[in-house]
Amino acid sequence: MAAPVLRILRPGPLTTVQDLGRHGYQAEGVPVAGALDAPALRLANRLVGNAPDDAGLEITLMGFEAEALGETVAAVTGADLGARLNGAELPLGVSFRMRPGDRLAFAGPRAGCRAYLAIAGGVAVPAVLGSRSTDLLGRLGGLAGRSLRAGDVIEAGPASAPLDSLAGRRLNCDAARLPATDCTVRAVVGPQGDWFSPEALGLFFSRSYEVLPQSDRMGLRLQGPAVPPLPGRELPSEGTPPGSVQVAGDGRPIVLLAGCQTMGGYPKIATVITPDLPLLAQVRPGLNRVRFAAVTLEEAHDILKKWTLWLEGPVIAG
Amino acid sequence: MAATKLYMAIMSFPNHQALLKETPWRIRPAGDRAALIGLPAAAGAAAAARVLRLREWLHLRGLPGIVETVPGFNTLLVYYDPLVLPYALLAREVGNWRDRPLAGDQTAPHAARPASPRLVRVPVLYGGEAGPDLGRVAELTGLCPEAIVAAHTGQEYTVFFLGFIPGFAYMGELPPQLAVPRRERPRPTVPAGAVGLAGRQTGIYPSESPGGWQIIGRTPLVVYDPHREPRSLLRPGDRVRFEAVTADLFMSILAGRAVWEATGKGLASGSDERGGGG
Repeated sequence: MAAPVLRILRPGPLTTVQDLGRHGYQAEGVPVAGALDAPALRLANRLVGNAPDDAGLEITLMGFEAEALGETVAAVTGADLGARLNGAELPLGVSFRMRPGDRLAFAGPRAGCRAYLAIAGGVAVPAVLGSRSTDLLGRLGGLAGRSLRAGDVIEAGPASAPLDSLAGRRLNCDAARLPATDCTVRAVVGPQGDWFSPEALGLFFSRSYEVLPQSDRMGLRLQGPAVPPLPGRELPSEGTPPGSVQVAGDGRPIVLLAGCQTMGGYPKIATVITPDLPLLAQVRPGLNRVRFAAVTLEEAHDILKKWTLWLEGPVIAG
Repeated sequence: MAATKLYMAIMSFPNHQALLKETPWRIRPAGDRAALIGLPAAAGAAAAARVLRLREWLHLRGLPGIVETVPGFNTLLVYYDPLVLPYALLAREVGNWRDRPLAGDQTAPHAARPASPRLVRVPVLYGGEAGPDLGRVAELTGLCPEAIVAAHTGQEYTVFFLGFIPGFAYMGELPPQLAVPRRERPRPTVPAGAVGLAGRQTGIYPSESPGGWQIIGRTPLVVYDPHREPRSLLRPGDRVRFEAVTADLFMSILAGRAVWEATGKGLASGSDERGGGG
């Protein structure tokens, strides 16, 4: 039984309903989508007693404001966007009660780019193909396949435990892993590494790139040393995983994120490893610079093993 | 120091090409959770068919740790869980596949059973408001609109894959005289059902979206609905034939007054209407 818990007063530049993604339908052209900083959403969910893959809200940068319509417990993780409850500063990574009339607002980004709001019981929108994530391009899932607008009412399912027992819970780890201003992400070379000259590869893996404002959930557009592919070859469209760094003839890399299309026709110089994708989700255009460090596939898999253990381990303090 | 590490990263592509030496396939990592299997042969109907046979074979193998597979023109991207399925094992499995001829050889242990190819008939209202780029295509090709429609409807196409937006089927190959570039400026919106041309491919927009293809007509059929079973009218490997219909029949099908048997023999529910030219 879903009940209204939140009314959106101002959505900010982009707020969408996301869970951990829609898996298994890429061969139909349905992108995975989902929270770009998946660990942050998982942590927020666990703070409020939800399943890790329950749906929450992904909030970008600033300007989001909402009013509680019902009794609930919520938590904010991910970027520090200046969260405030009824004007008082709200700590990240701690679950808190909300009562009808309470106002939640985000004053502006202090660190990172995307914050995650989990609500006890999970955001209740119809699941499409097994997921509540919003595919903005295909207009699937989430709230009517679109970003949130002023006036939207968010409903939540029943909480997993009495609200008093869910409030005031803390994490035994950070509420997010946020990138340094000059941040490095690790990437496996290719799959079209051999379409690039050794000089281009050397440049790509040593210089830092600015992040352009045209960046969005589909990808980060980078500005920096041009690394064009060797001329004369066309890549027939092929599957493109999030993390792919594609480079068109102009030599400007674009790092694809979870909102990207399922297929692409540009060569990929490298593919960012899964544990570092959440860092890219928190990169702010115009602020952070991104560098790429090459890792072997074996190293990438070692990192993935350790990261998975952490992700699924105990995170609630006390 | 950094250069040495980079060199090692590049050279360390697990060298499974030796395992694949009896097949033309290549396998390379696409990040830490996907592997790109590719045919160096040129993209086209034959390559697409081989990709689909590999895909079906992999699914039949039932390897634990395969998450999903995404066919491309001449590639198959395999998403896998490396904590369950090591890359080396996936590469060895692909190396074991022998793409047998489709007919007759049922005894080979790894013979992929061919999916029965379907023929899908798609009704299209060509030109006018339904095909706002038909005139532009006429300019680009030097053909008159009637000849364009005749060429578009005059052969079957293969569905290569679905991608870009949910349910968008890439089909080919167009006859060379119909090959046109994408629009210089994409339209901000293209209606659901719009039938377009780009390069040697033709496709149908499954839902309203921005679109850069040259739109020559529109189908009243719903080509993709995530809430319907089957969701997609078109599957990779299907053969597709476009058929010109009148505006009246288009409206009847759209309104549900006439039923179009896309995979059957013809029009059901008593109507004898068949389309003439665009």
